[in-house]
Amino acid sequence: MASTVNTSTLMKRLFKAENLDSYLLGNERYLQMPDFDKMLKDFCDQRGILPAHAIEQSQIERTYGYQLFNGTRRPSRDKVIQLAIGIGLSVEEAQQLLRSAGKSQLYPRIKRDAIILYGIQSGLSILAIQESLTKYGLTLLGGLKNEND
Amino acid sequence: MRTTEGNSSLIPGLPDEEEYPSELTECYELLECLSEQEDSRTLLARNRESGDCCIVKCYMQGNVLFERSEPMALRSLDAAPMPCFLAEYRNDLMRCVLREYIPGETLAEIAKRREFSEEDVIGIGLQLCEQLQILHSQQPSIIHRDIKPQNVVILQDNTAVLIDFGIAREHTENETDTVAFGTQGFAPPEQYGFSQTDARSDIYSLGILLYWLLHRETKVAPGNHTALEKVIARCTQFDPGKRFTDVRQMERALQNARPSSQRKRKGLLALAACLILAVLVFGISIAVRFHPKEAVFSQPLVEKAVRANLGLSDSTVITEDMLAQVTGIYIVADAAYPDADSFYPAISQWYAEGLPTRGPITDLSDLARMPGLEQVCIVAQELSDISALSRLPKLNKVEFKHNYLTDISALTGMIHLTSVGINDNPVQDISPLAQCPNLAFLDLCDVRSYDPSAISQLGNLDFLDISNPTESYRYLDGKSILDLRIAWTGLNDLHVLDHVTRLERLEIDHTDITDLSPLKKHTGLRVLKLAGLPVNDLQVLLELPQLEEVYVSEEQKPAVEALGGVPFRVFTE
Repeated sequence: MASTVNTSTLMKRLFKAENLDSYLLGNERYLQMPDFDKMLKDFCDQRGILPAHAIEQSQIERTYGYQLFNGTRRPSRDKVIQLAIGIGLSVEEAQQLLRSAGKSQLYPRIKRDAIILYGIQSGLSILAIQESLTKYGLTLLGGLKNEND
Repeated sequence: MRTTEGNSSLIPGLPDEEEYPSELTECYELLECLSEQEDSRTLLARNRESGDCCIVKCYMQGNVLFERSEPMALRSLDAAPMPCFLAEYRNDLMRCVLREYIPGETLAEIAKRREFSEEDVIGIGLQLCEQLQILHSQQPSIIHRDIKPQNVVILQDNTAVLIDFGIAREHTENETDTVAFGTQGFAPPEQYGFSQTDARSDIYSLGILLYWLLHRETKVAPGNHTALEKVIARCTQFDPGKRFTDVRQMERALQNARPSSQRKRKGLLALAACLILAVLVFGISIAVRFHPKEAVFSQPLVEKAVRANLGLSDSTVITEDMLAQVTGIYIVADAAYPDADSFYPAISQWYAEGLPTRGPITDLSDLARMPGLEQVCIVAQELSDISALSRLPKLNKVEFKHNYLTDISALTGMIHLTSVGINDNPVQDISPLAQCPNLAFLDLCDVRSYDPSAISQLGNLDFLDISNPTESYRYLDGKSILDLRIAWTGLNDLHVLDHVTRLERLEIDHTDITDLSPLKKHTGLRVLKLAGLPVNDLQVLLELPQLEEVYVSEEQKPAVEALGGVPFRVFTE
């Protein structure tokens, strides 16, 4: 296991590093970012939701969904967003889940992301969000070809 | 509980995306922001018609890259698996460059969950070398300049692909980069403005990348234990001159560092040995050619020099076909060096130690099997025969200080030869050098007994040292020479230089010159060595407008002081 470096040392390194990349590369073994599947299970536990239910609410194919929960498969960005919506995460939690999966966060200056953010913020279901996306002529969640997963 | 009703008819505050060039947003739907800096942004976008994804690099106004346009060489580059150029759009606010999206994970992401073995790292290095070779061999060549874990994508089939040509540039001779780019830790020192970036800058960053994959550190620790670490150490030299000169060279060194290739080579040898045994048993002898022939050296020190130049460890087997890759042999006394940059300090060290002992090399027959040799620098040996060199067509430099050469006819007619050093050798005839049309550097210091009239047959030179007893200085008429050294000779009249042009440096120390006034016609002189001359009048020095440095001896100091304040620096020997 990585040896421990206290947080204030990490902070010092962060402020000394000329940019974020070099900081992250030099110190990543100390950064305890929980694995995606672990975070996913924790969020479900906090809300008392079973994985089967979360998968259904997220409109994800069942086998694929279980593979995401037990960590045998890595999700695409859209799948992470679908799960965040299905579990009913807050915007902040959804961004955390995206980070733990190594995906880019929702970005309010991009129309598609802005609609998804609005949906999460307003507690909309997947179906409602998909409807908004359709209305604005944008790609639906899970609608990308050559999705990387 | 989430509502199922879509009240999507009104979503307030949606971004209008008007800041982007309209052609971009018409043809493409913006999907994700992959990274964002103050003055640049990287987006994932999707072609509305084809559905294909692409990467959009946006440089905002204020970013130096906003002003320029994507270089032609980068637009036309179509070398799978690297991402090809799709389009460039701009408006008053930003310039957007679109490239193909390569689906996969970056090395930075993969590194978060797994370690890399030496074999993995060499495999990745070899693939990236191949892609860099394509970039570097463009006309003009393209330097990537931002090789780092985030910019290498691993595809599903495990191919490593270089992405993000954001700061790649075309390499033009004699142009220093004025803008510092790159990523701290991975960018070479010259990328911070020390000198121009070229192919060797990418070699540096690739070296750091490979080191990072092994150790998760960007500072290469001294002391290299494995063959791979030795290759990395060479890539990451501070001085670009000490790195591999090109990616091909690095690729070969990586290949040789491959544990499996070393094992395989040994395995093959064992297999070949069995075959030979079998063949012998049956009394037939045809299998020998399946055997990758191991090179045998008559001079162990030459073998060391070959290893140094190819970056091979002591345990690697050198085969005959590897000898063609050797570009330089560098030896001083009993030690071998990888390149010219490490060789010259070693000579100085040898002098500083008082010319201790010579090395054991007596003949150069081993070199005849290395047709790629460009530089042969073998100093302080027992060498008298260099006839093997006549079979080396690419030679451009030979340095044989402190040997016993008498005959240099092997150098006759070498068209690439620019530099010859035979300091302190009993060479009898230098006329073969007149047949070397590109000769520019000639060191005849302490060569004592040749016919000096041959000097007049030589062309113009950048450097000529005739500090020897032959009176070669009588044959310089009509030559253009940049740096001329005639020290410790019987020269007593500077008028022998009246018809020599272009002089910038002149060493006439410890000669019999009594009158310096003929120097005044050499107005380009910048450096003069005058130590030990029986001269009291140095007035002429004030008439040399370019003069920067003058070297005198202790007893000449009063004469210099008599000149008053002088516009050049004075050094005392």
